[in-house]
Amino acid sequence: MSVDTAKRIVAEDVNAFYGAFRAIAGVSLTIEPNTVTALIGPSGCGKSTFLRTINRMHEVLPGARVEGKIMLDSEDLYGSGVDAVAVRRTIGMVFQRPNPFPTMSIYDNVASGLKLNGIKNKNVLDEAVERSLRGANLWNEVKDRLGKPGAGLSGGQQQRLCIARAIAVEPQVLLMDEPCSALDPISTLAIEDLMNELKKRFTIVIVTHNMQQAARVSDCTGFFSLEATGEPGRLIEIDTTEKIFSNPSEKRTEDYITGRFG
Amino acid sequence: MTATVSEQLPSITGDARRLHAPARLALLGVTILLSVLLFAVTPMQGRADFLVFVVVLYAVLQTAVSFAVEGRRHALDRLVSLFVHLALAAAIIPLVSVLYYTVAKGLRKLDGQFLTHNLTGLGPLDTNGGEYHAIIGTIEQVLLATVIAVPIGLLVAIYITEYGRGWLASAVRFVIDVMTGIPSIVAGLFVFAFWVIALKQGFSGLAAAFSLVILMLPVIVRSSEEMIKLVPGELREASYALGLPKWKTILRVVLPTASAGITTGTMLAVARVTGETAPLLLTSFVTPATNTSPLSGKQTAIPSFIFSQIGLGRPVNYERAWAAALTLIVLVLVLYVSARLLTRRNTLRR
Amino acid sequence: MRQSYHEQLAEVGDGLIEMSRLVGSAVSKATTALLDADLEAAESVIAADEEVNKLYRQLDDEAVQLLARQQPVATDLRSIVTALRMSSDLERVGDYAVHIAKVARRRYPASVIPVELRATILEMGQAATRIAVKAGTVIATRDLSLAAQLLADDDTIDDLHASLFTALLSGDWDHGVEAAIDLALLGRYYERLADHAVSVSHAVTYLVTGEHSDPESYAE
Repeated sequence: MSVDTAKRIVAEDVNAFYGAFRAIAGVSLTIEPNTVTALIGPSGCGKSTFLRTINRMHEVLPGARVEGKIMLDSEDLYGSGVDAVAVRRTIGMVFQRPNPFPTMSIYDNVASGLKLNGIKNKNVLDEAVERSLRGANLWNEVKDRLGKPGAGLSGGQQQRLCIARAIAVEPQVLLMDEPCSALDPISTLAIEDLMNELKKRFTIVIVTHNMQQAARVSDCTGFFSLEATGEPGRLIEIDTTEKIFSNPSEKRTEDYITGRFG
Repeated sequence: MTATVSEQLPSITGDARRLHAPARLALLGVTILLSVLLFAVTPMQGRADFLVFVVVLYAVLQTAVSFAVEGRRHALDRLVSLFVHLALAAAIIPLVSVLYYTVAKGLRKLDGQFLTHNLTGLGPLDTNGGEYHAIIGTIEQVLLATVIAVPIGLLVAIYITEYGRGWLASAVRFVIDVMTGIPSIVAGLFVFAFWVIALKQGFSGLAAAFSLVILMLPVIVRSSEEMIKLVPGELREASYALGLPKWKTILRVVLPTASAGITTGTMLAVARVTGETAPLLLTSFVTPATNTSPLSGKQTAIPSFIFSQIGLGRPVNYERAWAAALTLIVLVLVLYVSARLLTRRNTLRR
Repeated sequence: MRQSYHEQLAEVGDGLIEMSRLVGSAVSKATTALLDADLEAAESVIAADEEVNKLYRQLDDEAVQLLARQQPVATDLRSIVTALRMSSDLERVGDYAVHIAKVARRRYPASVIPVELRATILEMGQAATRIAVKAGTVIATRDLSLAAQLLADDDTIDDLHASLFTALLSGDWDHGVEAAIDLALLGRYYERLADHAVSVSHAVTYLVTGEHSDPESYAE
């Protein structure tokens, strides 16, 4: 198996629509490889929507579409002739609520991305499962019960299982949509430590409504916001986390992170 | 001034006197005694009347005594509780009595001989013969119907839930709903007119299977649809995010997750049609001989066997009918139990 | 858990210890420059202060970043807040060492210290060096009894300072006004330097106990 190669993400003037409604407008940013970038902002400002445009999940919803370019290194993910399903194979996603496949064992869950994409060789699968579970810091806890159902784990463990499942296919980018909001504080910290480890192998983008988490965990932070309800969400500012949380350039950013609005 | 809320609500420590079970039992005893007395003295008689009288009298007495001892709220509570229990009895008693009758009467004739012989070569007074051919017929017809109805039903359900958008999906759903209400004899009549007569295929087990398919399809479609809708969208999202195309997601993630419910729905459909009689009379008809080919020739199934036996009117026929009825109930029971066992296996344990 | 955060916290602590080491050696060298009229030593003390200042700014930035990003609480919070204070105190100690070295440089090649006061200045210098080094140890070990000892050392320096003034104000001072001013300033520098070390001791007591209690109450 090849070594994970994290990629740079460049978004150029991305707009996302739900039918006629424009949810995000004119989003442009650069995400460097092997970094953790956090997207923060008030509810409904489009940060999750933007996240989903990166791995072309947004268009799965009926009537949803995306305009603009998203470059993964030198490839435009929205270029003509690009297969959305292939894009999603190279960009992994972890969701807010842990969602292991209930009819599959732990082993099968982690291997599902590989198995269902045609890889049958048992040795290859065994090795991939162990590597991914180790990568997700779950190996020691489950190595004796790989055949048990995935749904029998605690919340924090299930989320790490989902992370293992996502990294088993060796994506270049890992997207995380509020991965800790359904978890207790200790599990949350465990996953934050995990992100610190994983960024050595992947580019990570995380959406979080927990500002303190963004402050702890990310190298760069992007702040999304809306002018008013009904307006599209925009990227107000994106910079290193140190700058954003000690001396942001935009007043709106400062107002948000100090809790004066939003 | 109006009293405060806390003054108007019943106090926590409040009424401590209760009418406990022994007291109620004693009250029942008194009621029965009174009723016996009254029935002995007055012109009222009849077991049914007695029972009704006891029940009504008990209801009145219990309410009155409870009201005096426990207060209004508890009295009302006990009255409603009494009605609920009466309703339960009203529902259970017929069920139990049917079961009892069938078992009692059916066991008389049900033996090895009955299960392994058909009705060929028997005169009207012969007490031999059995339902072997009917058992074969039921099994073949129901199996055939299931094999046809389940894939079609599943695919329709998948279309409605996963692919259909707008008016076509709603139209399909509407048609399926209408089909749920088709009387079984109409289903049989349709197959009779279309397949048996117009296409000149004649009576056969296959024709019976077709009519059963018409009856099974809506049940399978609706229950599968509900089960598929119950699969959380998050699982589909997880699958898409791994780069799986839609059809693979449905096949390998959605259907396995919904399989427990789909199996139950299918078993329910099968159990329902196993006992359908009217369509069989128009499609596979009746024959005394065993016909192991469902594709041609008349084929008796258990329900049509029962129907034809009853029509003959002699004691031996009634006995055969009861025995066959018992077989049918046992068959359906086996199907239900295996459905529960199958779904329990699919339910994941910690 | 939170390994990188704990590493960053440890870095701040290490930075403080490094600062205390630097200023401790600066005080010692400045005293030597004073007593031996050593120009080179004086120059090196003045130049080395730049490194102390750099470390001071760096520690401040790190502490502010930790506050902004890691939401420290309890002992962690106190350690960062006291680190901000202590780095400021240590930086002032370094500045006072520079002042002492500058006095030595200004009067070179003449010795600033009259013969009869050499012993006093030497003792003050040694006590000051001792107190600076002890401050570093207190930061590293968070030993409250050691913190209490520091106050005793400060008393020593205060006494020496007082005796210095007595000598300056006595009737038989015959080394001139300039020398008197220099010695008064030197006394003050040593005395203020020790006060800042005492400040460090108070900060560590607060860090460990969470209360603004007197370090002396923890003396063994």
